Amino acid sequence: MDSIFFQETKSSPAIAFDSGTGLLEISGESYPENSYEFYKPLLLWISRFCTIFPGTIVFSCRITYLNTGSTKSMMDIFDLFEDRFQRGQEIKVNWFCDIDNDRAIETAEEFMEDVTFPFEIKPLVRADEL
Amino acid sequence: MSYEREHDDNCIITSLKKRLADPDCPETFSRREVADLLFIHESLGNRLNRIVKISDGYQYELKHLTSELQQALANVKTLKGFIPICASCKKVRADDGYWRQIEQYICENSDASLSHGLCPDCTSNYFHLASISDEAEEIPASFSIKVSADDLENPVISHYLNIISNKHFNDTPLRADLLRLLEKYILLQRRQLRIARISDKYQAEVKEIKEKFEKEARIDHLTGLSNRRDMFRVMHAEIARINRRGGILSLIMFDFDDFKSINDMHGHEAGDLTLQYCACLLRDVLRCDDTAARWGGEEFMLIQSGTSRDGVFRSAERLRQLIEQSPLYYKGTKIEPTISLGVALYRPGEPLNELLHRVDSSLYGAKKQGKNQVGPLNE
Repeated sequence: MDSIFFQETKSSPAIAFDSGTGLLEISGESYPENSYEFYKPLLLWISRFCTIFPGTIVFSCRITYLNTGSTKSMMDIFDLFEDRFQRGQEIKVNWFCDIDNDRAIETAEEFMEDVTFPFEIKPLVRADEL
Repeated sequence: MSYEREHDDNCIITSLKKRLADPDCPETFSRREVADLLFIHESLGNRLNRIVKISDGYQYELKHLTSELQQALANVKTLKGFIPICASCKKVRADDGYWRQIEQYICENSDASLSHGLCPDCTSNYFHLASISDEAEEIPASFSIKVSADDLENPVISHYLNIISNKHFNDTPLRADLLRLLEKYILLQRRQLRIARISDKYQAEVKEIKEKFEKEARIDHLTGLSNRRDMFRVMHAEIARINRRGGILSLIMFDFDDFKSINDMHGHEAGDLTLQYCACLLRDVLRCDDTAARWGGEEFMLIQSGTSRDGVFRSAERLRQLIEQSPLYYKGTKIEPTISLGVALYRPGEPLNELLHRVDSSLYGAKKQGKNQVGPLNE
């Protein structure tokens, strides 16, 4: 199965879904004009990938802004993961955010609430800290 | 056989009959006559055979149809009695298990079968009974999700949960489907609220960042006072307010005397420090509805409302004295800056640029008269 690599744009995040390693990375801001159109192929890819990848799928999310449609799509991705996790697939989500910002933590916790697979909130290293 | 041929045959027969009726008829027939008769006989024989064959075909068909009809009649007889249809609503009655006979008959005699759904009347009856009854029971055990108080705040959820928890609904064929549907609805409702909460948080974050940027766009970064752009905004707003409601508006504009020499003698850092120090002093003496701004370079602007002609002179003079009497130290060196000030009172209806021109002229007057003083009020 092919990997997916999208460059980051002003309104859409960078995507690096590596079918070889099972490492799925998404980073940047997400407010595309049509979120459903943007996330549709990604959802399709994930749903296929989950059924054939034998190892642990690690989803690393470094998103600093999601519009409403992107939020819904992110939940759809987590629904897919949850379904596969219930069937025995190993899934791990690393959610990177500004851990000094209470609101960012609360947002991450909202996403975490609906899932039972391992979901870790980790500090997002800002560009000025590198 | 063609019409002509038949006609010919009849002619031969008629002629022979005529001959036989004649008493003078000879006892023997000619060879020709016998040949004709033989031919007619053969033709008739063939036709008879064909007719018999066709007739047999029809009879076979008839016999088959008769047999099928008899079978059908026998089947019909298994559906005993009449189908009881109400003369008023035209519905088939369901008493005495009659529908079972109908179903059995339909199953045995056709490819169709009865579909066991709920008719609209029964459905509404179930809903009616369950919704008017107070006999709601515990949430059904088969409900796979835990219903929270937040869920019950949704009127649709509380309404339908009440219905499917009702004992009147227990035997409804719809119950299982409705339970699943309600579970899905509750999960979707929670999802919708969660998305809204997340979205609100992101929007609040964006709003805060926007406000921060807007605030920063109004501030002079060196002094922390308003910048020239923001001062213009305040002036327009104040003038509009005075024009609408009346009142007094005054401007004080001041400029450091010989500021260039501070920069030249002590460096730009000392010049910046002098401006920051001045801003601190200014903030301490500002009234809450006064606005002070760094107008540009070493120029400052102060806008006050409700200050009279004498009041604006007093304010300007106090400011002059404050700066004069507050020297600052930079790397051990004493810096004693002074300022010259211009004043102007707003004339109702006056364009802003004229007001600014007058306050600028006043400041120019102060400089011209020897600096470190308040300029004349150009009325």
